[in-house]
Amino acid sequence: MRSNRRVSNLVVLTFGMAGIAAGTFSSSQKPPIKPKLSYSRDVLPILSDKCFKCHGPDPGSRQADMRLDTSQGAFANRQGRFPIVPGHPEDSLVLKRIHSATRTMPPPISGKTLTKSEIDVITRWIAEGAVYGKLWSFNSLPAAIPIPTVNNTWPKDNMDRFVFARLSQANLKPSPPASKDRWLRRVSYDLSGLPPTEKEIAAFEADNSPKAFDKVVDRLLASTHFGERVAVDWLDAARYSDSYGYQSDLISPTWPYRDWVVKSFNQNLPYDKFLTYQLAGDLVKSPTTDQRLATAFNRLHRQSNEGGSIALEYKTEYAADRVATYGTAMLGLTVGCARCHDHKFDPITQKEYYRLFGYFNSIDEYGLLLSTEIVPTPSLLLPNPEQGKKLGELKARNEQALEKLNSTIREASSRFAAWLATKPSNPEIPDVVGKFSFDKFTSDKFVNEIDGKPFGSKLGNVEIAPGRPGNPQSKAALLDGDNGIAIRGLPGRERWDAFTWSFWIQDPRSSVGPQVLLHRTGGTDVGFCGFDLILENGYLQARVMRAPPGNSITIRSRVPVRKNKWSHVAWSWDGSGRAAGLSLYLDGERVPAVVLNDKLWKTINAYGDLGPSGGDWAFGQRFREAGFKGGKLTDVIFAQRQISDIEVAQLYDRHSLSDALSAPEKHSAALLQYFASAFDKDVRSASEGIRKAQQDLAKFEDGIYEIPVMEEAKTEIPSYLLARGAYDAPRNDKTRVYRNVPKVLPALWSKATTSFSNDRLALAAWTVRRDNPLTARVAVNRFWQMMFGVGIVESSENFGTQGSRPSNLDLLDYLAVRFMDSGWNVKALFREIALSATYRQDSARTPKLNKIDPDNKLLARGPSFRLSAEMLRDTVLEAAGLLYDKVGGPPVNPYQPAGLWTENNTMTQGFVQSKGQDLYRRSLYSTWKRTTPVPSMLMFDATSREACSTRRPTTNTPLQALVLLNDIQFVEAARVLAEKVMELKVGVADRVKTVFRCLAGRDPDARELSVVLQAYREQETQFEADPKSADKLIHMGESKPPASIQATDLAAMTIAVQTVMNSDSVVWRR
Amino acid sequence: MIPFDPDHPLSEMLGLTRREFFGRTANGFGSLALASLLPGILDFGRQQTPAPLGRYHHTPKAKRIIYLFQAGGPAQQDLFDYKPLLNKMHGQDLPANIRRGQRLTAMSANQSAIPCAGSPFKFTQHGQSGAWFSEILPHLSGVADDLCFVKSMFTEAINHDPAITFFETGSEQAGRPSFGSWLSYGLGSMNEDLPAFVVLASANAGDQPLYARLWGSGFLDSRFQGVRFRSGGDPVLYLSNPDGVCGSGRRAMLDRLSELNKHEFEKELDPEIESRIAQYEMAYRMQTSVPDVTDISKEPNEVFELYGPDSRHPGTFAANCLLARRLAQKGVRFIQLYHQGWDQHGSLKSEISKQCKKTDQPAAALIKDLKRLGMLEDTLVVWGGEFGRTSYSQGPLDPNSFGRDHHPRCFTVFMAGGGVNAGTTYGRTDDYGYNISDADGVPISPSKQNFTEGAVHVHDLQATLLWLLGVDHQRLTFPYQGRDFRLTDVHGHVVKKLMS
Repeated sequence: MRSNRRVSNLVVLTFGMAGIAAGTFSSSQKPPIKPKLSYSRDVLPILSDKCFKCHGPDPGSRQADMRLDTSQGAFANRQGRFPIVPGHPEDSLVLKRIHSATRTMPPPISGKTLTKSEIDVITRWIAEGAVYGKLWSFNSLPAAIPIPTVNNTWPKDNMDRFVFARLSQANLKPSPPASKDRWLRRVSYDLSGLPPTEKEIAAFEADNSPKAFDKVVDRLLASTHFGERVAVDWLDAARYSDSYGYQSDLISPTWPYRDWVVKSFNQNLPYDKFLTYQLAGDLVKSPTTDQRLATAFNRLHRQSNEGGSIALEYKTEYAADRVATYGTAMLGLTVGCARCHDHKFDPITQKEYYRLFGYFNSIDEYGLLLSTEIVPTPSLLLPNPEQGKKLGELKARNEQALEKLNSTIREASSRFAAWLATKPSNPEIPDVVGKFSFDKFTSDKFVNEIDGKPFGSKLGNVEIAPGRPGNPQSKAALLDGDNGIAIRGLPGRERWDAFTWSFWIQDPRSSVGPQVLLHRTGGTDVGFCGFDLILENGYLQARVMRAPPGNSITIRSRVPVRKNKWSHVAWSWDGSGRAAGLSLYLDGERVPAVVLNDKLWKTINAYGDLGPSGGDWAFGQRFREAGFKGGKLTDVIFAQRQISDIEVAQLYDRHSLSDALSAPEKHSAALLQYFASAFDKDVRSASEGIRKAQQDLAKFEDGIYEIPVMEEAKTEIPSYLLARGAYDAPRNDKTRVYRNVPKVLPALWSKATTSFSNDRLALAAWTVRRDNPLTARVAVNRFWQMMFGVGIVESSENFGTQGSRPSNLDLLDYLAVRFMDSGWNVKALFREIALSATYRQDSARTPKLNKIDPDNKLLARGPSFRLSAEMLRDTVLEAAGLLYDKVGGPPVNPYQPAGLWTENNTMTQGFVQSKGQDLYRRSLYSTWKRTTPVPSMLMFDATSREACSTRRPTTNTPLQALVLLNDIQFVEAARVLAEKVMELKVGVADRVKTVFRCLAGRDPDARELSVVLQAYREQETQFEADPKSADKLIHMGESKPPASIQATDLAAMTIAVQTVMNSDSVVWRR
Repeated sequence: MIPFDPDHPLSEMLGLTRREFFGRTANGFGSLALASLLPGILDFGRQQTPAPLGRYHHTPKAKRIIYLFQAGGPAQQDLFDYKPLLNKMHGQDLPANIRRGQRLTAMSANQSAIPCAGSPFKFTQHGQSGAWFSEILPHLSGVADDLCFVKSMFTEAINHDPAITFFETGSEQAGRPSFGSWLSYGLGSMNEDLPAFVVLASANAGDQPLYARLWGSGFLDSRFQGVRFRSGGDPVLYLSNPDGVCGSGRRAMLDRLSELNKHEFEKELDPEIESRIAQYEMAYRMQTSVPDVTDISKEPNEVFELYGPDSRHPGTFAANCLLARRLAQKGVRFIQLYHQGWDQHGSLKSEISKQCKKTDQPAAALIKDLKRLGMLEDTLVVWGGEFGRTSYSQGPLDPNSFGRDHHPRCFTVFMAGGGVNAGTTYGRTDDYGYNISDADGVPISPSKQNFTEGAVHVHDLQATLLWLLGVDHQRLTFPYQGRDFRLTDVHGHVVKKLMS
C-alpha cells in the first residue's frame, strides 16, 4: 500500500489549502477564501522534498553552505543577498533562482522540479511573512481537540463529526450505509481475519435490535481470533519470523514471542505496556517471564551463522536493526537514515542516532550463532508448568547434592585420622589416566605412559624441540599456531565430568590476542561449545560453555604466565556446574581468578565433533582460530578427578606431597583435602552424587524451550559515533556518545520523572509518555490502517518531514488523545471505529468519487481492499470447515511445492510438510522462513520479515491467479466446501447460495446465481465425458472425499466453488 | 488479454482517461499496475509508456540482459587474471605492503602465515585481443574477442550473504529491491505472456545458498519480483492446472469467472476488478507460453552440441544457458542465471576445474548462439561472482588441498554484446593480484565514495549496466521511508570506457 507520493501530496494540498480550521464550519457555510498557509502542512513538504537534500539539516551534503530548513539559514545575509526576505518574495534569492532560466533551482541534475502550484505556495508563504514552524508530528498533542459542530444526524460518534466536517469542506456527502451483510463481512475480517460463518450471518440478519451491531463487535473482540488478526500487522513491524535469515537461514526458536503478541492483544494489554515490555521488560521491577519474553522483540533481527564473519560487524548491524525497528514501529520515524550522516530531511543528527543506538547495543551477546539447538544468549528458558516443577526439583536436588558433599567433607576428618594412622607415605595421585611426555618421541603417534597404548597424535607441522632445562633428554612440542596435538580417548566430555590437566608451557607471547591453549569443543569460528582454556597476553581463561558468553562458566586468572619462561599450568573442574568448581594453578599455586560468567544450563557437548582435533582434547590449535604459535608444551598429565591443591603442587615440584606425608601434623589441612578428594569413599560417593544430579538437570534442561531475549550487559557497553556507519570506524574518547533522545522531541526526563537510570526502561517510559508527540499518533494510525486499508497518515512508517501529511490531522489527534485517555485501550479503539458511521458506509465507488478522491482519503465511502495473504487462505479453510483454530504453538508447514527450502540452500533444514490438522492452521502460524517465504503468501504481498515493515502493498498479478486456481490448498478447500454443500438435502441453486454465503458472506444475486449454475452444468458435462479426471480432481489434498457423493458431481461442484472463490466478491473485502 | 478499452462507456462513467487509469490503480499503490501487462508498450522506438520513467533516459544499447551469476566468488587468479609472480613467490608470505592492512575473514585471519599461492593452471593468450585464459577455460578463450573484461572490480563485503545481497540489491542488508525488479519497475515488460524478470538456477548445486531476496522486490510492489523458473515439476510455481482439470474445462471456468467479475465491476466501479480480469487472462496464457518456452527438447541437435552434453539435462547450467537464449528471444528483459559452487576454500585445483567443466562451454555457447542469431548486439551478457579470492592460501599450501579465502579488493567480471567494448580489458591488478593498481602496477585504494579511473565498484557496474539498458541510475528512484531510493544508493558512476 505504497502510493505515488506525488499523487498523495497533491490531494492533500488541494484540500489542505482549502482551510485548516476543520470543524468550525458546518456543511452549509462556505470556507473563507485563502486562509494563511501552514508551514508544516503546506510549505515544509515542498521544501523538504525539493530543497533539503542539498540545503537541509545534513552539513555533509549541503551546497553553497546554504540551508533553508531554519529561518536563521534562510534569512541570512549572504553578502547582501538573502535567500528569503520575509514579506518580499520579489527580493528573495530563492525565488529568483526558481525562476532563473539558466541557473534554475532545483537544478536539473537533482531530478526534481517544482510545479506551478508549488511555486505559488512558496511565493505566498514568503509574502505572508515566511513564518517557520515545526513539523506537525513533532508538535505535542493538544490536551483536548474541539469537536466540530455538525448539524446532521449522520455522525454516530465524535470520530464521524471530524470526517463529516472534512467532507463538507470538499462539498462531499458520506455514502449510504453498507448492507448488513457487507458490514458484517467487513468487520469480521478487520477484527478476526476470518469471514463470518453461515450461522453468524443468519444470527445478524435476524437480529433487528438496536444493539445488533454492538453485539457483533463485542463478540469479535472477545474471540481469540481478534488477537491473531491484530498480531499479524505487529509481527510485520517487529520483523518476526521463524528463521535467522542470514546464509543457512536456520530455524529460530521465536514462536513464544508470537504467542505473547497474540495473547497480549486478546487480553487487551494496554498498548503503552505492550510497548514498554517489548522495549524493556527485562528492566522492570521483578520481571515476570512474560515481561522478559516480550523483550525478544529486540532479538528478532536476522542473525548470521556464516563462517568467517566478524562478530563485531554483525553486533553493530543487529543494534542498528533494533534502532531502525524501534524508530519505525514505535515512533514512525526513519531514524536509521542518520546512521551514516545527519538525516537529510528530519532534524536528527548522526550523533543523536548513536545516542539512541546506545540504548540498544549494550547487550552481552556473541554476535554469531552456531546452530538451531544452541540458542544465542542472552536467552530465556520457557519451561511449561510441568517442566517448571520438575526443574525446580532437579535444581533443589543439585543443592542437596552439594550440601551432602560439603557435609561429607566436614565429616571426613574422623576418617582422616584413621587413614593417617596407616602412615601413608606414597605420594600417589589416584585417577591419573593419562601421562605423556615427548621425550621418547618416535613417530606422529604418542603413547600413554600409563598403559603404553597410543593415545596422542600430532597434527601436521608440530616440531619436537628441547624440553625443560635440567634434563638433557627432555623434549617438548613446539607449536606453530596452525597445528596441534590431539589426544584421543580421554574422558571429560560433558559438564558433569570432573578433570584435572597439568602440563608445562613456555609462552613466547607471539600475539596479544587470544590463543587456544587446550580445548575439547565442537563448533566452528561462529561458535564453540565444550571446554576450553585460552591464553591471552599471558592470562589464562577457562570456560565450560554451551553458548558463550551468557550460557557459560568463565573465569580468568589475575596473574599472567611468565613470558618465555617454563611455567607449570594446572586446570581443574569438579563437574558441579558453577564457577566455584573451576580452578587454575600456576607453578603449583592456585591463582586468583575473576569470574566473568557463572550461568550454565543444558548440556555442553551440543554440536558434536568438528575440526582436525575430531572433537577430542587438543592442545595449541582450533579450527580457524589462533593457536599457541611459537609456544612449547611438555609433561602433560590428565586426571579424571578434580585433584587437591597439594596434588597439583606435587605435580609441579615433585616433593610437596611427599614432604607433607612425612610431616603430616604440619600439613593437616592440605592432607585432609587430599585424603577426602583422593581416598575417602564417602566423599567420592558424594561427588558421584553431584555428577548424577548435574547430568539429570542438564539433560532435562535440554528439553526446555529457549528463546533469545534482551538483557542489559552487566556494565554498559559504550556507544560511539561510527563514521559512515562502519563497524570498524574509530571508537575512542572523541567519538564516544552518551544515551539520549533526539532534541527535536521532548526531553528524556520530565518533571514527573522519579527514576533517573538512563536505560531502555527510561527510553520506554519516554516513548509512551503523554507528551511524546509520536507514539500514540503512530499507533492509532496503524490501527486505522487495519480498518480502512490506508492510514490517516498514508506513510504509516514515516511521520517525518518526507512522510505524507495526515488527511485529517484533527481526527488523528482526536483519536490519539482519546486512545491515551482510555488507558491505551486497543479494543476500545477498534470498537469505536467499527461502530462508527464512517466505517459503516458502503464502499461502492461513484464516477464523482473516482474523479475527486480515488484513494478515498476523505472517507466519503467505506473502505475496500484485497484480502491479505493470510486472510485469503484462512477464508477458504474456514469456509470449507477445514480450519483447525488452535491458538499458538510451534509453527507448522502447510502445503508448498516440494524442495523449495533446500533447492538452493543445502545448509538449511529440509521442509517437512505438516500432517493432519496441522495442515489447516491459521496462516500466521505457518513457518516464516526469511530466505524462502511461503511462496503463495509472498505472491500475495506478505513480507519476508527480513526487516521492519508497517505496510504491505496490495498488488494484482497473474501469479496470484495461478495460486488461487491451482495451489493444492485452494483446490482441496474448494472440494471440501463442495462436499459440504453436496451433502445438503437441497437443490443445486441452494447449494450455490450456501457457497456464496460461506465465501462471500452474502447471497448471490440472480445473475451470479445463473453464472455459477452455468459453470456447474458445463463442468458436469465435462466430467461426465471423462469421469477419470473427476476422480483425480477430487483426490487432491490429504483429506479424503466421501464415497457417498458421485465423483463427477463433486468435481463439477468443486470447480463451481473455485469459480466463486476466485471472484472479486471473495478476494476483496468491500 | 483484455486490455482496458478507453472507448468503453464505463470509462466515461469512471471519469478516467486511459492515462489516469493506468497511472492510478491498486488504490493508488504504485503507478505501474498494468505496465507489465501491456504488450510491446516499451518496445524499441515506441516509448509512449506510462512506466515510471515515461521513456528511456537515453537510447539504450541493449534491449535485454542475461546475467550469468557465478555465486561463491570465482578465483580470478586461476581463470583470467594471470599472475606469474605468484608462482615465483609460491609459499612465501604475502608482503605487508601488498596486504596493506586488509581485513581478513575469521576463516583465515588467525592463520599463522598467509603464503602466496600460484595458480596450478597454465595460462595462454587468445584472440586478437591477446586476453589471458587459464587452461580450464578452453571454450571461453575461443570467444576472447567478444569479451569485455573488467579486472578491477571491488566491493566491501567479505562474507557471501552480505556480498551477494549487495551485488543484487545495492545494500548488504536485506530489504531493498533487486536489480531485475528495478528494471521491471522502471521499464516494464516487452512481452505479453511471460514475466519481465526471470530467474534460473543450476539444480542441486549445493555450496553457498541463494535467497529469495536476490530477486525480490524489496519495497517495490511484489509484481516486480523475479519469477523463478524451476527445472523439476512446474516451471513456474502453481502453473499447472490441478489434476483432472483440462484446458477446455479451465477455459470454461475462466469465462464464468470473468462474467462474475464483470458483473461485480458494474456494481462497484472499481478499476481493480478490470485489472483482475486481465491478470487471469495473462495467467491463462502463461500456462501455455511458459511450458512452450521452457521445452528445449525441440531444439536442433547442433544446438545441443554447441552448448555441450549437459544441455540436454534440464536444470544444468548448460540447459539454463540455452533456456536463457529462448527467453531472450521471447522478449524477457532480464534473465538472471545463478550457478553456485565457486567457493573454493580448499581443494581449489579440482573443485574449480569441475566448475569450469560445467560452465565454460555453455557460457561460450550462449555468446556464439546469440551472435549467430543476430541478437548479441542488443543482448548484454554478464559473467561474474560477488567477490574474488585471495592470492594467499587459506590453510596449508598443499598443492591439492590448498584453497583461497574471500577477497573483496579485486576480482574479474566480463561482459559481452549489448554495446560493450568487445575484445578489451579494463583495469588491472598489482603483480600479486591482490590490489587494484594503476597502469604501472602500483597498488591504489579506490573507494566507492569517489570514482577512480581504472577501478569499478559494484555500484559502478550496476550504474553502467543500467546505462546500457537505457536507464540513468540516478533517476530510477522510488520514494520510501522519506527517501528516494535507487539501486546504486548514493554512489555509482557510469564507466563509459566499457562501451563501444
